[in-house]
Amino acid sequence: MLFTHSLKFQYPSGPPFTFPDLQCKPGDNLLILGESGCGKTTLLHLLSGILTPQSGDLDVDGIKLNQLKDTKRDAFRGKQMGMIFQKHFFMEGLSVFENLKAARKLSGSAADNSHLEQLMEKLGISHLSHKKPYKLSQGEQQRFSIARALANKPSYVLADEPTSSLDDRNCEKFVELIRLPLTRKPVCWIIATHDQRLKKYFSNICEL
Amino acid sequence: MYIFNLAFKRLISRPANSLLSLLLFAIGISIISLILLADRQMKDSVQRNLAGVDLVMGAKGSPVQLILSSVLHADYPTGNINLREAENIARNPLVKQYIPLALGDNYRGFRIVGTTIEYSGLYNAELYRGQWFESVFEATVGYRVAQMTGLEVGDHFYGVHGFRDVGHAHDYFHYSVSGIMAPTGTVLDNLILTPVETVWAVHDGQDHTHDEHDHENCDHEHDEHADCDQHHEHDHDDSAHHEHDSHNHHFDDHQENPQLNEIRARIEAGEDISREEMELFLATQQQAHVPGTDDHREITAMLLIYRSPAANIQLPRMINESTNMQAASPALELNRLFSLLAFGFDALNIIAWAIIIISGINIFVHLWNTLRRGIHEIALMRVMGASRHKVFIMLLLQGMILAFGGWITGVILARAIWMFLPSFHFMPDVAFIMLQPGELLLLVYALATGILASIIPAWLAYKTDIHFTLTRPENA
Repeated sequence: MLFTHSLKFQYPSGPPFTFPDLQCKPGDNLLILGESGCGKTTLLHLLSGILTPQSGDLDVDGIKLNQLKDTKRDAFRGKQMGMIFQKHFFMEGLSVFENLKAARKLSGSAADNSHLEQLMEKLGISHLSHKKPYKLSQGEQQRFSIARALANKPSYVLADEPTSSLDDRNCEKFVELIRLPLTRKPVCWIIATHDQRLKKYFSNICEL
Repeated sequence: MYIFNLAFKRLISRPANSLLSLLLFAIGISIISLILLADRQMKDSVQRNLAGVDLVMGAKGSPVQLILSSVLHADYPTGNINLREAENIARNPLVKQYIPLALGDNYRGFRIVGTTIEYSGLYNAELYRGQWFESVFEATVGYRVAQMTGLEVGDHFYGVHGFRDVGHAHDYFHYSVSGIMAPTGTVLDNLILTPVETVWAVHDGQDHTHDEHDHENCDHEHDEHADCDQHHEHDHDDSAHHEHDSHNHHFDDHQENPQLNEIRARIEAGEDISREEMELFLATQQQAHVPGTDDHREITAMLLIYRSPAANIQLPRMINESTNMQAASPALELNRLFSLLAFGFDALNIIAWAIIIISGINIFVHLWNTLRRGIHEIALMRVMGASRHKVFIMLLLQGMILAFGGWITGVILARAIWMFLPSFHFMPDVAFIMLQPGELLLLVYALATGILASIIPAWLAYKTDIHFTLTRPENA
């Protein structure tokens, strides 16, 4: 269970953001909808512990994330949260499979190759496992990003504008993919976007 | 450790840059490593080759040349000295042992040394096969000589005048191989030993063939060992006499003067004597000598081994001042030579360190550029759960891997170059030399350089702000 209570954040030179209270549990999905500059990314980074709020509470599975020390917060995020960005980041020197493995190893988990292989299988990228990610097509990179976000069997996946650069067909495909039972554990997808197309797929919507 | 794995993968994802950094580092290391090897190897092998020789008497000239030619067999001799005169000096209670050397010929580049059996004793040489040389024209060859030339016991060979393989062959006289010495790891392995008389005989003979009409005028032109006044027939009695002669003499044959007897007694008791007493002793001894038929026999050098350290104070000065010979101490001259070389080594060392520093900067630039271009990778690692410390360590490891790789490559490179260097004659072949203590110290410096080069990029990675890195306009 993830919930927030009157989160406030302000950049050194910018207006203060006050965010509505959110609540989401594994198995549910949450769409955060808003125009550019309204603080969607900031909110996602607060939820993942990349940023710390000036005030307010953030509780993830009973842990007050904003009160954890840096190192512990990094480890917690690594283990419990997957992240997908609008641009597909990856480690250049590593293959697709090694990138997935890095997501597990860096969070302190064992490699668990069979889980990673299943994940690639379900996402249809098994044949790309030894390629370098930058050699993949846009659609393949999208699926690779989903695989990495799920590598650690997280309870939450936070996605920042995952569909804004996709056409309608691929946008639909993305929604189909995240609805697949990709891991045995239920996952809570929290998607921040300005993409109105996604609206019809989600019931739980928070407009900023 | 996974972070090490990542550091390594990051480096090989930029192979050209990483290889360049590593090789530049390796060049610096290999120069220093080569200097260490050369220094160690030279001192080692020279020490072994000195074999306890305290003083060398030879013709006047460069003392370094005298030592190089007669102890290390690496240079041309300074000239000849009179055997009788040399023996008069050497027959001295301060001298425990003296060994004559007569050089001048070679066989396929290996020097033929006319000497006594005691010479092999200096190096504790043992026989590998056959017998020690006994009579004229018998030769006992060093282990490497036998290996390289294929000479076997009982074989015959002709010597060539000079020290190189090309030259005039003394084809009137052939040597017979009486034995082969076991390897000693010294210059002896590269030598052919024969009685001094053989060298005399060969060069008498050469005189004979070349200067048929005026040998009586004693033409020294190119013959370093000409024995001017007589054509030497292979005189076995003579040879026997000399071998006996070169053992310790306690000059029981001259006597009388009570003062002399007293000096002699004191010297033999190991007591010090004054310079005046020493001079008196030597003068008397020279006078005491009755000129004989061997008076004009010449040798190239005489090796002396002291009975007491006191000899060091008196003998060299006496020889240099009052004879037409020179005395040179191998230890002293080689130290001088090494200090000259050390100057060159120092210059090379400075160049090598300059290269290492530049390659350190090169590593820094490489890491810095990679980091700046791929800073989002660091942010990504952090998102995936890596702590600040981990990314800091990863960058440090990248620098250290390059430095360590450079060190290993450099050390191996140095050995490879070493094996292809034209080896000095007096150095035994060395296929593999163990790691030097200096090289381990070098490893410490290398790793320190790696850390220094990567500490700024590592700090940059440590301070990376995930949020701003991921939301930079170019990443949005």
